[in-house]
Amino acid sequence: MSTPLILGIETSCDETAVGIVHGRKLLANVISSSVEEHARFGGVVPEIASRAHLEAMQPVISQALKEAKVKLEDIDAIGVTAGPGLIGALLVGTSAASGLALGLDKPLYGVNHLSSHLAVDALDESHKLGPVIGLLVSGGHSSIIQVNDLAQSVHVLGSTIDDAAGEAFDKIARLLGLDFPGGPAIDRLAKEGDLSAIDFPRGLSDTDYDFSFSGLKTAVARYLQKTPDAKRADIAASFQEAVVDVLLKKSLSACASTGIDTLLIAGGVAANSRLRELAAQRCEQAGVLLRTPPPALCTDNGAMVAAMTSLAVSAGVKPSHIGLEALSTVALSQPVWA
Amino acid sequence: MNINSPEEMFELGKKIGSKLVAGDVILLRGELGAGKTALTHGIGSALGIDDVSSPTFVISKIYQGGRLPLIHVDAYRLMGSELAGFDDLDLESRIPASITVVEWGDGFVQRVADKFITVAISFGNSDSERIVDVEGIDL
Amino acid sequence: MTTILAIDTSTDRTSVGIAQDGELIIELHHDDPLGHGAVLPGLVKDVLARENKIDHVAIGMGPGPFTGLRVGIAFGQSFAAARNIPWIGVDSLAALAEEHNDAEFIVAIDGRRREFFASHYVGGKILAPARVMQRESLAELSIPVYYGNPNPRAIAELSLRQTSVLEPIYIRKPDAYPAPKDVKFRPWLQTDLVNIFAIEKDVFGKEAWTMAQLKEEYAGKERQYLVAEINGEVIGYAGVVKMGEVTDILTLTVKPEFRRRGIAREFLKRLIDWSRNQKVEAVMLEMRKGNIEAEPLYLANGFRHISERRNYYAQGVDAIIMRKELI
Repeated sequence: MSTPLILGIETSCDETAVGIVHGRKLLANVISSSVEEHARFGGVVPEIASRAHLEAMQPVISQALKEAKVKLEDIDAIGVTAGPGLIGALLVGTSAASGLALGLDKPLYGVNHLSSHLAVDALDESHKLGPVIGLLVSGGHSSIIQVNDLAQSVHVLGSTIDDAAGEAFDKIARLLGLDFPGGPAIDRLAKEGDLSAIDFPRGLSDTDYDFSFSGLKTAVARYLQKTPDAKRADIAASFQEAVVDVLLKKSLSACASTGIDTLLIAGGVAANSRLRELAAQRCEQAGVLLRTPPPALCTDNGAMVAAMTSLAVSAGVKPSHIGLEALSTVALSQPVWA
Repeated sequence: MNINSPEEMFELGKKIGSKLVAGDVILLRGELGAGKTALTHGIGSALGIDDVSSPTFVISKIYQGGRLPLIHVDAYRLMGSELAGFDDLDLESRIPASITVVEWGDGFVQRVADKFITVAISFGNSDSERIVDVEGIDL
Repeated sequence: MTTILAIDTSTDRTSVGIAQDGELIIELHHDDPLGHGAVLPGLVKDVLARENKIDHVAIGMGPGPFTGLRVGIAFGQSFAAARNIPWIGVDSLAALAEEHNDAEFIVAIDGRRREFFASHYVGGKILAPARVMQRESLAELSIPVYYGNPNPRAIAELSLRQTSVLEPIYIRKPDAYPAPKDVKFRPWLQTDLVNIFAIEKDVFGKEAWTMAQLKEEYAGKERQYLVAEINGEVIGYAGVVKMGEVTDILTLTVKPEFRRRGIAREFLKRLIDWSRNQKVEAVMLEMRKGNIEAEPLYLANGFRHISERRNYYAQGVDAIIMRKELI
C-alpha cells in the first residue's frame, strides 16, 4: 500500500494527540494540550497524566476524524506511541489504539516516540526521503541519530547522559524565575540579552556525540548566586547559546564523519528561534541541507506517529502483535516493535 | 561523607546500588544541581543499567534489563498539585520487585513506603564539594 | 437478543466476557496487577473468535486502582467507536454486589495503601454511596464483607438495567481523603483558650504564645481558628489570618501523642479551603528550619520554600518562609 490512510495516537507524556495522514499528506493534527493548565499550576495539572489522557482520548479522536473528513472504517492502520514515556500515560494510548484496531479489524503499529519525531519530516512532500542525521531535542530527549531508513534502520550515535536540552531550559527558567515551559520563556528573554556576555561551559566537548547539560546548569546557578544583579536576559542568552552551540557542533560533526549531508532537527526544542537561526548559518557554511519541521509538528503530536506508521506500512514492516506492550524506556534500535 | 567530584558521586551511587535489594526505596534529597541524577546514574550502573538520565520531564522512567528493574522518579513537577498525580505512577504495585529512587520525594515517598533509605546531598564550601548523608543502609 | 461484550479492569484481574440473554457464552480472565495493558486486547480477540457480532460494550468504571481502570475504559470506548456501537459504563462495585443476597453485606475492592473502596448493601439496596474504608475498620465489622473481582456476567447485566456511568468512578478524591476517625473539627470557642495555652506551653516551652496573645487572636478579625477534639478533649488547633493579598497560617499544632493520624493534614486542608474563599493569591507560613516532621506535609500540599529568616524563632532558630499559590 503506497498511500495508506493512518490514524496515529500519541500519549507518551503531557499531550493527548491524534493525527491522520494519507500517505505523506497531513489531513489532521489535534492536540489536547495541558500546557495552559501547567502554566497556571506551575507544574502538572491536578489529576493529571492518565486521567486527563483518558478524558481527552475519545474527543481528540473524534475531532481528528472530523477535521480529516474521514470515518474510522476508512482507516487502513492504527499507529500509537508505545514508548518511551510515562508508563501510565502510554497505556491510555496503547489501550485506545488496541480497541480501535481490534474493533476495525485493522493492523496496529506500536512505534517509537523518537522515530516518530524524525518521521514528521516525511509530511513535507517536497522532501526526498533518504539518509539523514537527526538531531532530536525535546523536554525528554537529546540525541543524535543516524537515519538510513526511517521505517527500518535508525542508529543512535549519541544522547544525553543527564538532562535533556529541554529539561535544561526548564531548570534554568526555574532559576531565573520564568514561567513553565522554560524553552519559549528563555527564547523570548534571550532576545533582549547579549549571547556572548558570559562564556558558559559546553558540556562533554571531548566526546563525539553525547551531551551533558548538568555542568552547564550548575554553572548558571553558581553564576546567579555570585552575581545576583546580573542582567537576566544576558544569562538567558548566554545559556541558550551554550546549548545551541554544542547541539549544532556535534550534529554537524556527525554529518561530516558519516558523509550524510542532510541535518534534520526535530523535537520541541527545534522550535527555538536561536537554534533555527544558528543552524541555518552553520549548515550553509558546511554545505549541509537543513530541515526543520514547522513548530507545530516539533512538539509532541499525533501527526508524527501517523507519519511514522505510514512509512512503516509503505515499507511493508509487519504490524505489532496483539499484546503490544508499552515501555517506559526503550532503545531506539527498532522504530516499530512487536 | 564528603564528595569532591561527579565521578566520586557516581562511585558512591555504585556502592549504594550494589547493596540494594528488591523493594528498596530511596528518597533522594538535594537542591537543583546537587548531583541527584549523577548518584542515580551510579546506582543504575551497579544494577547493570547504563543509560540512566534525568526523569524530570517525564516524571518517571522505568528501566528493565538490569539485575532488578529501576524506577527513577522526579516528583518535582508533581509538587503543588494533587497527590493523585503521584498515585497515578502506580508505584505500590511496582516497588516490591524493583529498586525505586525518588528525587524531590518528600511527602510522596511516605505514601508508598513505610520505610525507606534517605540520601541527602548538600553543597559544601567549594563549588565541586558535596556533603552526603546516607541513612537506612550500611555502606 | 442482545450480545454484550463486558470488560472489567477495576481489580488486579483483567476480565472479559460475552453475554447473551443474561448468560455468559464465553469468559476469560487473567490476574496480574500490572498486566492489564498487554493482556486485555488478547483476551478480547479470543472472545470475539467465539462471537464477533457485538451490540454494545459494557465497561466496569471502577472504583478501583487507576492502574487497570485506564486500560479497560480506554480500550472499551475505542472498540465501541470502531464498531459504531454504544458503550455503557457500569459501577464495578455494584457488579460485585450482584453476586450476593445476604440481608446486609459490604462489597469491597482493594484501593491499595491498606484502603478499600466499599459499598454497604441492605435488603439488596445500596445504603449510601461507595466510600473509602480502612482495612482495619472492615476487619472489625460483624456483617459479611465480600472482596473479589466483578463478574463479566454482572457487568453485562447491569449495563441493561442501569443508566450508563459516564465517568470513571473516583472515590478517593485527592482533597477528600477520609478525615481521621473519631476526630471532630470545629471553630474555637473562648473556653478552648485555656486548653490551647496548656498545649502551647507543653509543645513550645519558652516560645509559647501567652494567654494575652491568644485572647488577642480570639478577638481578631479576618481570621479562622479551628480545634480538633477527641472525646471532648482538645488535642490540636490551627489558625490562619488574612493579610492583604495573602493569608498567613499562624499556627498548626497537634499534641505529640496524637500525631501521624492525619489531623494536621485535615487542618491544612481546611485552612487552605478557607483561604480560597477569601479570594487571596496565596497562603503563606513560617516553619522552623529543620522541622522534618512538618515539611513533607507542606511540600506535598503545594507549598514551596520562598526564603529564610535567620533567628526568627529564637537565637539560632531560623524560619523557612513557605508559600502556596492559589491562582
